[in-house]
Amino acid sequence: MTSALSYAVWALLGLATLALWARSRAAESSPARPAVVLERLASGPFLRVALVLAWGWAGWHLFAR
Amino acid sequence: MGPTAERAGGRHQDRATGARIALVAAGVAYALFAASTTAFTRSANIVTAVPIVALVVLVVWRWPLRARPLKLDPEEAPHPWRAWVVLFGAIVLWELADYAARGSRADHPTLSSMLDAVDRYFVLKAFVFFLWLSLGAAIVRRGRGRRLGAQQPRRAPSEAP
Repeated sequence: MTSALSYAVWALLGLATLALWARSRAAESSPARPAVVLERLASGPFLRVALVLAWGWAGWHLFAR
Repeated sequence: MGPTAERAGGRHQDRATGARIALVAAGVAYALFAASTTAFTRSANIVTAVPIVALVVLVVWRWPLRARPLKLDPEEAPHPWRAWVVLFGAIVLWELADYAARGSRADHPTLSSMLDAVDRYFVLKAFVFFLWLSLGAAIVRRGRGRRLGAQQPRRAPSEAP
């Protein structure tokens, strides 16, 4: 039961990500496109450091550890 | 534009396309090689460390020293980041809730435990590794400050060239 709930929430979050991605591609959309979000993160003085660290940590955690 | 300029532009575009195809092919080959390694081994450490070191070198080399945060036109996009921040916050909250919950990881899966399950399959692991490499390449590209092509951000009027 608990695992079903957990997987259901993950599935909902995945669907929400896809929906937001699709909505951001509409011509008159308010949410920024993922590429623009990435550019915003990569152009902030502190966010860009956090972005590089997060990317490196994610790779190390997933593939090396 | 004259025919000479058109030919030069076409050659430049061909070279850019060729370079992109070569980069993708190299990324696929590297991801397939990386997928053949096993976590907690020296080979996995090295194959993961190489792109991390390469990205750090590239951002130090290619990114401008002084960052200029991207600002969008508030009239065209009143809240461009809000939905993404909310979604990211929800994912982080659920990840922490699952991580801290009592019980087995199977009952409370985290993102990394689900990806561990995916990594048991060679092709899927190669695909995830390729996605990670692609994200790294996109980070380097977006941080250079070059303007987006088809995804031109809506800049504030005061920042218009």
